[in-house]
Amino acid sequence: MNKKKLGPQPLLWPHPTVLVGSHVDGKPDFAAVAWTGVAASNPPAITIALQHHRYNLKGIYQNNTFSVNIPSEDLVKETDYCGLVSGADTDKVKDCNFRVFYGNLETAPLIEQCPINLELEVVHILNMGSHALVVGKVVETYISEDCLTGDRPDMIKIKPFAFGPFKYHAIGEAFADAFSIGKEIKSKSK
Amino acid sequence: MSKKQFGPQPWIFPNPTVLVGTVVDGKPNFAPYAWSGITGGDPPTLSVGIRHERYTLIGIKQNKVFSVNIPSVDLLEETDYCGMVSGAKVDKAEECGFNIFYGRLDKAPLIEQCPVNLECEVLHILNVGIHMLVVGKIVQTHITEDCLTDDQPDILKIKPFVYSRGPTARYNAVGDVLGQAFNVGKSLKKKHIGS
Repeated sequence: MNKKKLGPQPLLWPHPTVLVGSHVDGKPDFAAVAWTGVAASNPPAITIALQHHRYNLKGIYQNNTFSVNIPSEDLVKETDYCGLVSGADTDKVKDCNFRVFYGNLETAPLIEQCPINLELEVVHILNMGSHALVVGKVVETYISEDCLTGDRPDMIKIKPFAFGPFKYHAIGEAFADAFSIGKEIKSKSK
Repeated sequence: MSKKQFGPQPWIFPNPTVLVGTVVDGKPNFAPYAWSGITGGDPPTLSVGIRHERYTLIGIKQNKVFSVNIPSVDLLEETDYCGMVSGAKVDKAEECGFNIFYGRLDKAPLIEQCPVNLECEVLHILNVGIHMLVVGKIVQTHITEDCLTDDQPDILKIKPFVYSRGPTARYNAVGDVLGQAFNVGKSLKKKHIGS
């Protein structure tokens, strides 16, 4: 067996890439986050991990609400920019020409250009050491209408991208149907 | 603006696909999960959302340890199969021909064929509705040597895949590089911040 030990590493690839929105001192701000995941489906909940000193996290503590916006490949430059600079130093909304809109929550800014937008309420914040783990309950979901196929979200049209490591990757074509391709082994073992 | 509202949905895209390993009543078992994510960097930690009734959760509660194995596209069929049947009824490791090994934790079974294996200790189990959010501390990482480039893990050699909900549930490969991270945005930074 040719395995090498690397010590403890956060090597769960591919990472999604999202823009987390919050209101800091009354002003919308967006941060690029790759350490995120789905936590649950009913009620739908997700997690994001942010370093304690992040400007965006300040807004989450202030309002107990935030947003998650899934950028498409067209927004890779703006997304990277949002990870390079702090909202304490500049107005990222203006710099990136984001058109901001709001849904049910008045302190969870949403980006119109992002094909998917989630409005969230904070349910837990856990101290994980270097990061704060924010668990949020999704209260509303928006999708750009041209990313639907037969009334369902279509990842090929959404064109999200993955982070890992230090590069952004497109998502390739679907190459198998889930809960289907494994049936061959299932029928063999019966 | 042409946006459509869908009510609350757990729509984070893309979702990684991993095989979570546990020992249940003394026997190794594996189940695929798409609802996972990194939850911290120092110490490295991760989360997996698991429904209360899952066989995997029994093993996690019994031993307070588990593994996360990243399958490559070559293990697509086996991964999908592990999501169609319960370890309560069949021995998935045997049926999939998994070669199992152990590292530091003797109740966190690792799959040799998966290019990346993480050994995890449970830190938190949070009740988040119909799922439990299991947060684990990564205590060791194993990688298949031919997935390294200049001693660094190479995602194009690891060949992980993502689970996507679309018109039907599908698996997608990881595609071409779009740009270098912390670099492709530098032109905007120069324009708005300088240097």
